[in-house]
Amino acid sequence: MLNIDNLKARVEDKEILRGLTLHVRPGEVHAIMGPNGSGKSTLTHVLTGKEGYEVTGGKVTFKGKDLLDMSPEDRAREGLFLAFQYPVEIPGVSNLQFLRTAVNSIRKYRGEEELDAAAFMRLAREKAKQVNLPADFLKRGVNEGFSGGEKKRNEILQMLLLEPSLMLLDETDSGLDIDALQTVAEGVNAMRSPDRGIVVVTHYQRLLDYIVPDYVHVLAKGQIIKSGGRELALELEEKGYGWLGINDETTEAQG
Amino acid sequence: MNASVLPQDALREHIQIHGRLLAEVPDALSNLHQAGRKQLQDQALPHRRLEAWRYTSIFPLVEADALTRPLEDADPAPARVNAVNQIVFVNGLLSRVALEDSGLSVRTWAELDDEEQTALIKASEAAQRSGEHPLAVVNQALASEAILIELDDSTELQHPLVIEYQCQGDESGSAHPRVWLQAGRFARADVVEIFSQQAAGQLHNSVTHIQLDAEARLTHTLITPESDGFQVHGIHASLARSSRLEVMTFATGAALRRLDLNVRHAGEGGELVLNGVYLTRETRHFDVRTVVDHTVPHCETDEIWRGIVTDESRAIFNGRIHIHPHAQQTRAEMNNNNLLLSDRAEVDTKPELEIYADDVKCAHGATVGRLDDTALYYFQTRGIDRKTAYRMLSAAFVQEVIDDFPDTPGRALATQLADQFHLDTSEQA
Ligand SMILES: Nc1ncnc2c1ncn2[C@@H]1O[C@H](COP(=O)(O)OP(=O)(O)OP(=O)(O)O)[C@@H](O)[C@H]1O
Ligand SMILES: [Mg+2]
Repeated sequence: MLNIDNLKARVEDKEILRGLTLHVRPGEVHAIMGPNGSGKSTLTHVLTGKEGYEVTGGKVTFKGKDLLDMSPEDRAREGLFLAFQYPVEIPGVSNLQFLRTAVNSIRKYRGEEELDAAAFMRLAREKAKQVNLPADFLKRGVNEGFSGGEKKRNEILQMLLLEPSLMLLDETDSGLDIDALQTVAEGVNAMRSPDRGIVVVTHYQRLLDYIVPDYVHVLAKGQIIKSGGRELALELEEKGYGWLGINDETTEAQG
Repeated sequence: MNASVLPQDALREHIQIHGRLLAEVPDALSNLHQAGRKQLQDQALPHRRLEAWRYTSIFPLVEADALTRPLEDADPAPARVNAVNQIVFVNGLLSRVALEDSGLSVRTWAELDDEEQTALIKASEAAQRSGEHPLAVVNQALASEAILIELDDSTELQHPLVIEYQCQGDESGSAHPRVWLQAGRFARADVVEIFSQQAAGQLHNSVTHIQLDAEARLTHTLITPESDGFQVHGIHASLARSSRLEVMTFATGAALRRLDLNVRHAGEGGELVLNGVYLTRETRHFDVRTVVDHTVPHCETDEIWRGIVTDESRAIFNGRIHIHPHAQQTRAEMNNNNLLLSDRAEVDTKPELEIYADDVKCAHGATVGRLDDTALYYFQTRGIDRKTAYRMLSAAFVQEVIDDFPDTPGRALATQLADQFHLDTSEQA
């Protein structure tokens, strides 16, 4: 459903993705690991269409359509979802208002009826419970003053409400306590289905104990340099990245 | 006009022409005019070298000849909001007074006795002198009508009092309505002042004096829709012991809009909230100057102003809180935040604290920012289009201030005008 072929992209004249290929079929869970600065978040932002990222080569199709040709909102409406590594705080816009506008934009695009305030409230409360966020988080400004872990759970709440078909999770496990990690993983697993694809970006094997991947990839210097099954994650956890002939990108850049 | 004449000198000449027109037909207001003219003699008129008028030129007023004559009497348009207690001015003249609640009265200048008139003249001259609001003196010298609104002691007004100022017709000219509002001890009321659209070349220069007696509580909501004319409004308020005043302003731009909000804490334990929102676009102009004087101990002032400035418009916020030597244990806070949505728009912000007492808690701050691209992107990744995101983000910036307005037709009108503004400006997103 998501086919990335030889994707090249740069930010401010800096080549970050250098010919990346990755295919995700419905029902599959892919994990992407890799050193800091290797381009994992960049990949997710290029896929969701953030401004400032220039695609210089390759192509991406999503459910057969040219993804890179769509506006960011249309990508979301087509079913692409990114759980941000750093969720954005939006003071003054309530979580509830934000979520309802999002859900209704997507429903409208799909030709479904929009949800009224009461119906949406019921749905939102139910999903908030599922990620262990008290209902008053719905009234607060989007991510405003949320703790790191609360922000990540709020991302999962959005995912549950928007019901995307392809989910990109960028380090959703970082900053979570053990209980929250489990809650988040349960949220993701609840979404697992034969017609949905999942890509999790993580530094830790731990998350993959809960969200068991079909494939594990190593992203380094803007390319997938190695792919394997879930045992690859265990191997990386044990040995680091050195044996693959790569160093931490940032130290290398300095040296 | 002779090019070598300074605008303020030309303005003075225009005021004299207007004053002579009024003097030809003496009426009940003559003593008010006379006292105003006298005060005007040693009153500097606005010009760009005065700090308080640095960013707003009165040249357009001079050029339009707006001050040389009064606006003609005209029929009212339907009121903008229907209110149980309503006062409508049209072109500066009193057009309608309908009061249903008890404890509330309105008298015109002619209905006041000599003693009352003298007292009001004296009180407002003192306020004008300290308020550095020269156009209030012009208002007095050329007053179109002057009324006294009184709330009896302990009156709790059941419904808001709505004062609407309309400008009708398309001739240039000026209107100078003047209102004294006196709230007795323990009185409680919500007042709304609503201004209107005007034709280009029309000047509406109004003044409202507010006097709160001890323990009185008043909310005062000011709504100024967009106008092609010149609109100048001044509030001079004085707070006696343990009284509380909330002045909530919703403003937009005009060919020239200037607000002078001057409040004096004159009794201990007074509380002032002086909040506002301004939304300017096209080539309109908005200038607000707030001056708060803490002359006694134990008073509080909270001031929050948020503005969205777009297209080629210009907004100026100049806030001053002056804490006099005896005003110990004052708490005062002032913040001005601006969202600048266009490269061609301009914001000038200058919050100032002048503190001459040592035991006080004061803070002030100002920001000018743009809509956050990352926030817009976040919305888009959730399926929300850019326009809607733009509208929601700009609304969020000011709506929390509007939501704090007292529950009167003023708040609903402010929300409605703001929504329209956000909708229109998001079209450019
Ligand atoms: N807007 C930008 N301007 C300049 N450089 C950028 C920009 N965005 C990303 N980069 C650079 O691109 C490289 C890849 O960044 P990216 O965030 O994709 O890494 P990552 O693999 O997600 O790292 P981490 O594991 O630390 O999250 C880094 O060197 C980063 O500094
Ligand atoms: Mg990252």
